[in-house]
Amino acid sequence: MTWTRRRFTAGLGAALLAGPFCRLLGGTAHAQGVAPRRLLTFFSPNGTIHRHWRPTGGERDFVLPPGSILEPLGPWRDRLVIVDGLDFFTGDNHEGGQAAMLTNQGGAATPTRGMSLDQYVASRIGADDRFSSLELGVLTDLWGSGRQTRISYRGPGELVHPDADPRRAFDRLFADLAGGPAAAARRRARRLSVLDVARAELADLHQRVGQLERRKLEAHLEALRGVERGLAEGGGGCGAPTPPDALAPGDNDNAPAILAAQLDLAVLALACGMTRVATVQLSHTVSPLVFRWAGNSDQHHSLSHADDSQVEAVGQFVAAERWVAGQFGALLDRLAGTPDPEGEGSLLDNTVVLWAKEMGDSRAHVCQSVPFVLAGGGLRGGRYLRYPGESHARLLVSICQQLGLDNDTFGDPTTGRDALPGLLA
Amino acid sequence: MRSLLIATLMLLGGCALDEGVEPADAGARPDGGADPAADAGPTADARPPAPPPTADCDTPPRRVLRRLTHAEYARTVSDLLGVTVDATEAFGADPRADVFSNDAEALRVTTLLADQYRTVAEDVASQVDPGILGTCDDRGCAALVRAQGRRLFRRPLTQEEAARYRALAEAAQAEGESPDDVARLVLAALLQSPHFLYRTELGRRDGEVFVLTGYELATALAYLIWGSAPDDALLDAAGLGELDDADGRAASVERLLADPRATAAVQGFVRDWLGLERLPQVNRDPEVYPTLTPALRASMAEETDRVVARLWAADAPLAELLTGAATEVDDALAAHYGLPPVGPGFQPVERPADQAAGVLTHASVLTTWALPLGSSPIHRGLFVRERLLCQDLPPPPANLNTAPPAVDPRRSTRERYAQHADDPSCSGCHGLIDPIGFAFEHFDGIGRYRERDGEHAIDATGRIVGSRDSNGEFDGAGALARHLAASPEVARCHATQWLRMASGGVEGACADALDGDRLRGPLEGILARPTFGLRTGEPGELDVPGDPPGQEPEPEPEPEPPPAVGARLALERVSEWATGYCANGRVTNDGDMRLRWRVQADIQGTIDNLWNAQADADTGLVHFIGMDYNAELEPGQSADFGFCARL
Repeated sequence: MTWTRRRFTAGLGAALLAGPFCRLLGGTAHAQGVAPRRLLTFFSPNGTIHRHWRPTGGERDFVLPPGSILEPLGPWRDRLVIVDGLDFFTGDNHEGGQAAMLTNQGGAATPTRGMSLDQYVASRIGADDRFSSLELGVLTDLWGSGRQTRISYRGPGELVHPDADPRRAFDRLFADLAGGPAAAARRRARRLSVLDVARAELADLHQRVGQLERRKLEAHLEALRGVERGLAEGGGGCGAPTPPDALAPGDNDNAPAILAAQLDLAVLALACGMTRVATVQLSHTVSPLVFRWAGNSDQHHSLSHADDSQVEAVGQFVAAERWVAGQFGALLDRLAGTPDPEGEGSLLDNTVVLWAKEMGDSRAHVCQSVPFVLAGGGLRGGRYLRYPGESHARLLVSICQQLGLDNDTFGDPTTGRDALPGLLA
Repeated sequence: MRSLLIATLMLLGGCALDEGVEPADAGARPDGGADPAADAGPTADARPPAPPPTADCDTPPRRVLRRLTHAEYARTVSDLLGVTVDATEAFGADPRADVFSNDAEALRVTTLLADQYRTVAEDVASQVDPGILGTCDDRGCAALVRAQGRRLFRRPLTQEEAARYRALAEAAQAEGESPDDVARLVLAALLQSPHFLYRTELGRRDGEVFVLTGYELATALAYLIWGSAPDDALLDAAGLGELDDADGRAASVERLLADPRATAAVQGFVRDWLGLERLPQVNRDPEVYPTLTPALRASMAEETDRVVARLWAADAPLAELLTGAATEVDDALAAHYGLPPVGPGFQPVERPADQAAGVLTHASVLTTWALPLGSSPIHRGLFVRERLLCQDLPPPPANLNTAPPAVDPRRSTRERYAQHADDPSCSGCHGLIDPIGFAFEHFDGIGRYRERDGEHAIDATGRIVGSRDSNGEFDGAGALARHLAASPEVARCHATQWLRMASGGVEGACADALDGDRLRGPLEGILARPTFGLRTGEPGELDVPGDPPGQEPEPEPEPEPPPAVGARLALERVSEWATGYCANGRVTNDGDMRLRWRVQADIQGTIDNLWNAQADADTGLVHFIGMDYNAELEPGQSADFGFCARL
């Protein structure tokens, strides 16, 4: 017998498309009058070439030069906050940069407890949601999971894994709604009782092992709490979703379609009130992806190291990066085109969107002047801000504060305090 | 120790190309998963503090919880329940620490994975054959809980555990779920239990160490030798105490090693060791390599699997794996290698002497260790350095220009790489790597033999420097392979890789005590260690006054069952008349464990004649059990009985 994705083909489509599934969707209604807050983080790997990335001009009159990496974001120029010049003080090089990018390498005893930005924000504003956070990947599993392939941390060294298969992710979000409310409620009750059994057995094991092993069981227990929330019913409103096409999640040439599907899912999950923190990760540092759809013939990592004498290779790298910029723009399109189900305006108005990279200059693979692009979430757009030599910790703080949080450090507290001046103005 | 060494090397500006340098010791790179040519910083590991390394081979490993890897999960479910789970489709990637993906510390359950466990458990439960699963009828669920619990927990359930699952079943029954749905619910719950999802080889405290129970030994043996759960026979042996003495354990080990599951596990070990898990997806430019179809990649992988199986069966020396000319190819691979067609399926062939270097010249290995547009002396050199010599090299330091040599038809691959390493800041490391990789230059980016590299003559001379005892020069892959096969360092690394695979990252290195010269040597040595069934506590765990954790007496197991799960009854009336009938019953063991059968049937009329069975009633719901001579059924076996009844 073969284990198949029955959930998809049976029941789901018809039941969802015809049924009143919005009532079943998770998400807690938030207090009237308070602007909803959300965070969507988008990652793409292997640094940049500043000469091809940087806007020209000043803070307000900047231009995205023709042929540059950011040029495809031209239609969004007035919603963007382009942040240049930030350094990572707590990590360098491919892996070190990727690990520091969203964490700034705080220990467990720091205010942000070693978590990555997404996980910390989720712990503060997502605890009541069906999914406190949602992590989606594109070709993120080819090399196994590890520090080289992951960007989210729930604590020092504790990786959070993205789901690299859009159909599997879709199932997780929507499959349980099949069969109508009564069937869903009964299934839910059964599943909760199964979780109770597992919890009792985790407690038994906990008694039998030492401190080091207990950490695994405690992480497992927390995971079950997440599962339980995921089983929750709740209000929310959105249209009927269309399942993504079946795409082999490890196939290089599926990356554009997988990325589109994952961005759709992230937006859908936000729009349906299932979560308020979503992360979409395109490949990982040292990415072996070949962006053939952007005219590339060599892998992204090799291209990222090409020096200026290798004109053809640099051209390919820039083409790949321009394609990624276009995808980020398409994400902004989706968010802007989706009304906020809970508040005024569009989803973009109430979602801080961050495009993060793990390094600055790709050729030197160092983490100085790491490029960041922000949009939405109430940020005043149309600005190109330069903070030469400043710690990126303060960018992470700025994002937290824009989301209404009160932390004034992020990660290693010795590397910077308070929001970046002028960013939240 | 190793990170200190790396740090020292970094200060020297990369790798010291000093012939006397002490190589990095065995042990997975702490960053967890790495591209072979990754230029990433060796930063401090963020994992919890590791226990102090075991000083010698006499110290047992620490007692840990080992979450099943996704591959182990899939094999377990397939072997025990007959349901195929595609681990990649179901779960995504496991943590991978360079070579193996079984690091006990990194194998955690996240919310995403717990969600996936739930989904997969429900799917498996919905697909399992009812004959294997059994059912939960109005007599309750006890038999199913007991039988499936023992197989999935790899030990009898305690009374308290069994009661939990029975309560789960009863609640569902009370709400009107069908017997089969209740059975599936129980199975789905068992599959989400930590006792299923983790290998809990914790042992019972005996003085300063913990001694594994018979059932824990069964689990340790089965996952090491098969990569899967113990079968019923092994659990029976555990229950009878047979694994607690050397002879009994040896008999079980012999049986496990002779099983096809052992071969499959060894194939998996070699695939991981050689990095072949990436072969299906590794990027090649379709215009440069139009023949590299998914089917050809699959044939490449199968070639290596077949050679491994054959050599393993013959208890061949490691040298044979590294140098042998004998292989097996199908027509696609024959064409790939420039050999004549071989006919249907895979057939044994000898490769020409200048192309034969065992698995080192398998297309699987050479394709995995190359780049989209061509061969890669760097990747192939790193492969030898890290996988066969067990020397971890630091990635290029930040700020170093690591621009790879661009493809340039005017120069040979070797010339491009040689120039690239001219820079002294590069040559420190690349002098350790590239000259090994040059030996493979007669093989292109998908492992085809070539006389020329484009228009350029090929120089396949190479050398190893900076090793413990593998330094030397060679010309071509065959000479490199023979050189490696003669090196004790390679045999030791072979044993080290087995230790890494076996230990889940918790065992100290003592590869020297293992016979790495034979393919079976390391596994046999690991199994024969006096410490195999022993564990140590965590630091401080034994200092706790009073009852330390783990010292509590084993909870009382459930009383032994009247086994019945898996017995299927087919009743057929063979004659009928106005006031009565006779029927034959055939009981078939549909499970995969031996059982004492017990079946029930709703009997019309009153039985007045019964043969080959006993019954507990003569009308209505009647339970039948076998006679002494036909009560026990092997898997697949049947027993016949019959009766006549008055209406």
